[in-house]
Amino acid sequence: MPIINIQHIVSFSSEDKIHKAENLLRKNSQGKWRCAKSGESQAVVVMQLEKATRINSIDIGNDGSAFVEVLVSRSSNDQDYQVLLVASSFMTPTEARSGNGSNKVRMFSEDQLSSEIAKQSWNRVKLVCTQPFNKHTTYGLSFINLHSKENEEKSQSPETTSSQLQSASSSRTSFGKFKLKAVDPVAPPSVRNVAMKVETQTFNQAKLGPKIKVEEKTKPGKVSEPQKRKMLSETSTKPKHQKTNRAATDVAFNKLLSDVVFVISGFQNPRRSDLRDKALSMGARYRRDWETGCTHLICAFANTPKFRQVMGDPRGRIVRADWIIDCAAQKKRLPCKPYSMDPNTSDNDDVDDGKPPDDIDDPIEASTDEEDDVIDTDDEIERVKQNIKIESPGAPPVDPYDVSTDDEEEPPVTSSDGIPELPDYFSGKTFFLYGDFPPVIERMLKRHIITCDGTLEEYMSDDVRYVVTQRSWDSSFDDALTSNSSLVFVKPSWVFECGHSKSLLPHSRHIVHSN
Amino acid sequence: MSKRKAPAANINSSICDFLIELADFEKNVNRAMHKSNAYRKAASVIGKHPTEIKTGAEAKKLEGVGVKIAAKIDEFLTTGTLQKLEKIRKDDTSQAISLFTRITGVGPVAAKKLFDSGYKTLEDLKNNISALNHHQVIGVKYFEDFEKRIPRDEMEMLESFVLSEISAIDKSFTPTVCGSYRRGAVSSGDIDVLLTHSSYSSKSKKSKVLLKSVVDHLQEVGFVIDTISLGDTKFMGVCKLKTDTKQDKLYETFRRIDIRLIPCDQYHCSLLYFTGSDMFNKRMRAYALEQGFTINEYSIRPQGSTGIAGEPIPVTCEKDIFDCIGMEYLEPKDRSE
Repeated sequence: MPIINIQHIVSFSSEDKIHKAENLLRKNSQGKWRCAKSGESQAVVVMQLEKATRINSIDIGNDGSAFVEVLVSRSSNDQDYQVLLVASSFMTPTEARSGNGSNKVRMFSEDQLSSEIAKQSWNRVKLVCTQPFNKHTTYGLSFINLHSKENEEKSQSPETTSSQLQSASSSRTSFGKFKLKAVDPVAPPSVRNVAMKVETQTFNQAKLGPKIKVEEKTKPGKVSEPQKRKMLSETSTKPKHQKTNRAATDVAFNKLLSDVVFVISGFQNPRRSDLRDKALSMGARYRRDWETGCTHLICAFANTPKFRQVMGDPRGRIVRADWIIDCAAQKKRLPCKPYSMDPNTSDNDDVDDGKPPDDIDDPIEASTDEEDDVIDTDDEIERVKQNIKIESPGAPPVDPYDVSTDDEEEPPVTSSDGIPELPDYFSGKTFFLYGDFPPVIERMLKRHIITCDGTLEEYMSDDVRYVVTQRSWDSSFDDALTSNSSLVFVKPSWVFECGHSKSLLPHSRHIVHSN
Repeated sequence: MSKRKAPAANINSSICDFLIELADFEKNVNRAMHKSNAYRKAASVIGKHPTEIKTGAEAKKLEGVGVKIAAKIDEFLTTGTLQKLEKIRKDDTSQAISLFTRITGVGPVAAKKLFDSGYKTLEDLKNNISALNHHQVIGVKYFEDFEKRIPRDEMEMLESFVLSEISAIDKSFTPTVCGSYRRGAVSSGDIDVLLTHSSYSSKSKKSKVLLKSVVDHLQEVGFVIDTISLGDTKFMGVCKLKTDTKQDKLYETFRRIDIRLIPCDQYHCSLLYFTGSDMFNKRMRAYALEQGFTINEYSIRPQGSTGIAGEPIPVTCEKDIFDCIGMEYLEPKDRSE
């Protein structure tokens, strides 16, 4: 089991003048790391691994800490640390107070690590040490060894993916020293890559069904108007068929909500247990608190603590209890949209059959799910038509999803049932997403920008004004600035806040600052 | 754990009594645990108050007594009764449900179901055993006995008998009688025995024979009379001491006994938990959380930086647990609150 090479220390909470954090990088030496002052509530060091690696086992040499916890992350998303090794005991209170036994070594094998996390590759490691038992001593670690499994070389790392992409689409993947990285190894390559356009088309077609077919068959000059009409009517009727089919299929009562994992908020017993029993009897699963995997919050009134928590979770739906009651009464799964309590998602929430988005990783998938929302679908087709008219014949085929936002000449359609016009505060602004995002965030970002009439560039170009990134400043930012001095680097939070307030907010609070 | 708590004998016991009655009502009939806990907390605080409470305003100064409970105390002190309580007492539904929840094996939900099925009295249940599960059948069978509290001297006899019988089986067993008895209560509701064996830890395989050997033996010697349930780690049953003619002691009442087999590494946290009181446990856990630890009946664990609990801290006695969170050690007798 080879030792994983630790590249450098990224950061630390504090370090002793002699026992510096860097000492942890040295192999087979007597060096150790201690925090600067006694009584610090925790001592933290963050280390960069050479490349994203699966960590299979960990040896920790203690130096005065009572507990050591190991967390991991990837440098592209360095705020989101996951626990690899839970806080583990190295000294008892008695030992800590007497100072004996401060140099224990413990080896943690794979079965002691959090299995979900140990399965993935990581390139950042955060060590959190605490010493709550003795406030009169400094503490830290004497060494840390991370081991990977052998033959780990072939595993995918973001670097290799990005270089593959670069070679595939040579000219447009870099700007200054910006490099394109694959957002997610499993995300469809199509979203980003013009050179792979052919595959893209087929890929999308397979995934998207009706809408893409329209786009394909109505290529400029090839299709006559009546044919288009036909296509359009097909598009708008087809989803309805699907819908009826689905309703007709008889799902057993106890499996109606089998993919629902719900949390209840604001209801008191006995109502609470009635609701829970009802939902459980339809195959839903109950969780006491909101956690990953939860899909629905059954909420009595707005603004409960759980309500606010779920508001921040794009996967979560907040619905009134009537949804459960009506589903049970009618013995069928009703769309949860009419029951939604979430002011944000209710109007742009496109999955309204009550199911969580199946493939949240795929930004395109999400925007095609508007099965029974005929108005939206027509609107979309209308926009595609617009694009087709404007584009000169012979122009390279473009991914329908960036095009649709480029030139919104007609005002957003106000639908008959009173859905308000889409805001357009990003109008004329061009965005580029840089670096890796969790798929959910990326999807939200894209949707926000596109909905609000912003232009989303797949590649860095002179038009780009806003670079949205989760990364901290590095040299490539400087390089980009020399090429285009008007660039603004902002965090995703800006886009979300604008979306929240439905207006263009100053971005000053969300700027990524240079070091 | 016992269904009945020791009656509070204190200067404000009349106030405590009606608060506890309200607490039981909220728990059993309305299933509003939080309301119930609020009443119980107030009752506990008032029970400990050294001087007689004369007005609601006076009570309101105590922690856990808010505007509404203070108003009820005022009403009780001025009129001698409480409208809400009178209403509850007159209400047949509440009365039947409250009665049923006193049966071991019947909780608020089961009580409601039984009531909804048309049973109103204990006699109804005795005549319709088929509506009950095994546990509830025993609960009905011994209802009067289980309502009787066990005086401390009998508890001491029970303890010494159980301890000597268990050590006769295997010296590696460590049994402790927990609950209010361990806190020095003058009477107890039931007998709660925690048991561990030096060969049994949370990492070893669950032993199917350990607990069974103990229960079998206690049955053979005629101590255990009935079994409510027996699993790998928990026994619930009915016991009675043999009448001791030499000392002229008559034991006629059947008692509820629980025996729990605990892995030896979790024994001390369990001991702490099952010794209580539950109000003390709540307070201690809350304090532990402030210090960055989480305590449950199995273990004490540090809380990691993201809030995920760490690995259990090895402890060798209850004192170690207090030590970890920097709390002064309290003898069991000082844990009643």
